[in-house]
Amino acid sequence: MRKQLDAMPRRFVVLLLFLASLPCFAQKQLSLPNKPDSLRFAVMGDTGTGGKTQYDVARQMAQWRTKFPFEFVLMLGDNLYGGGSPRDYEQKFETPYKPLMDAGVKFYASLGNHDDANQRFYKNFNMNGERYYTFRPKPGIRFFALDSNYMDRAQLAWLQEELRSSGSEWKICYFHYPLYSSGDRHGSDEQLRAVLEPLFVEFGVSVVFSGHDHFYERIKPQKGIYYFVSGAGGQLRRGNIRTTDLTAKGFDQDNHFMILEIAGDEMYFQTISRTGTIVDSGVIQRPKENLKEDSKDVPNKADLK
Amino acid sequence: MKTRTRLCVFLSLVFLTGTPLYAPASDVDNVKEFRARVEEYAMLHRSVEGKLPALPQKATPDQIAAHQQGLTEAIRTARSKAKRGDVFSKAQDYFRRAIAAELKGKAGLTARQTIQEGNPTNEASGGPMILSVNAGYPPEASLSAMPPPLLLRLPPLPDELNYRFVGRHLILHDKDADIIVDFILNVAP
Repeated sequence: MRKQLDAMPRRFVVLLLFLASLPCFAQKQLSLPNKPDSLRFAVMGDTGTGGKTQYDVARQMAQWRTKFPFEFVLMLGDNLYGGGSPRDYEQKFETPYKPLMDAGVKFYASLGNHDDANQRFYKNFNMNGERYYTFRPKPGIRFFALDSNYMDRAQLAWLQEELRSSGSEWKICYFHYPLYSSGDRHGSDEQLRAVLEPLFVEFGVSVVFSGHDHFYERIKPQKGIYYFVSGAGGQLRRGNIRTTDLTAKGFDQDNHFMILEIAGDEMYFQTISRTGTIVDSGVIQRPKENLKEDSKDVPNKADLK
Repeated sequence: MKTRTRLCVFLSLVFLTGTPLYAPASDVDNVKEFRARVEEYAMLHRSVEGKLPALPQKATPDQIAAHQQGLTEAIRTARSKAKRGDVFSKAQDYFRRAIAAELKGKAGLTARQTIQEGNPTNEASGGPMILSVNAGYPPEASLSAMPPPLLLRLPPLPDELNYRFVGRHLILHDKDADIIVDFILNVAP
């Protein structure tokens, strides 16, 4: 063995070590634990351009799924820009994500300001005709898709009741307009925050995903809640993150998507750029004060399994 | 006191104190009428939609497009004589005051910023919007955000309708037919 090692050209070994240290190799590694009983999903926002960058991101998602088989994708709105014709659905959703759909991945959409309300009837967005809905893909984990374009009293009342009666350890909300964002073009929606944040805090929401600003930003926890802006799944606004006290991590130089895994009390995440490099990663510990049991024995009519 | 003097004193008091010379019509009645008219519209929407093939909750894009087109044409036919003010009617002043109360001044800054989000006059998507009753909301145009406190203040709408802003104008938008049902001009400060 030693004679074989000695026989290897020293330069070749040095080259191997050098390549392994390069960012392009080091930062394309999956860091999520991929545990057997965990929940795996992806997140993307502001995707529906039908342009090259959307397709590039979609290809990356399919590639990463070979090593991290996520089950579904959350869509943060602006799912289809420029209209809702059958051609728009085909070019801006069905074609780029066909490999994922063929593999059985489901998409759960929320509506953005560029989205026709009739998208809620589209079979592959799994909204079941509702502007806002909730689903529980696994016991103890519940997602709430909101229509942040039109937060009327009916929706607020629904959300309050659903959060109150949920009891799930993980409550994760997603919608288009960010409550917290360092975006120069849009930024934080303070009016929406004023009505939603109290509910999130009162009922133990752990994580919130939003789009609308066309970049990635992980916000420092606000009142114990983790916020992500993930609005560059197809759109991008380079250099749009202002310097604020909100940012834990920001990335506005290229498109991206997120992959996440919930295993017990931990949520692991990785944010991956259009070119496959890791932009951000980490783990979120769920606060222990959340309720233990999901109080619903029978799914309500909005539950999607 | 001579009549002329009495009149001068009276008018002075009016202008100095801001007391109106007349009392405006009751907001309660006007809003009640508005709510009756939007409900009437909603019933018309449901009636014409009921005559179309049902749209499944898991529809294809072709089914969605066909349904929307059928709904839009049927509503336009059913209210072909509709004109501006038919729904807002005498409640327009109420809406102006309610929106002004929410949007004006320093306190209304974030609300004013909110209605600019997604406002089609601020987005680089397509040309200028032409407001007309029964006109289609352009598919390439985005929808304005609506400040939640304002939505809580305004009269609730049936599910078929949304309030939206186009520039400073308030519209009633049928979100499934994607048409402008009525509008008030220059209502936002």
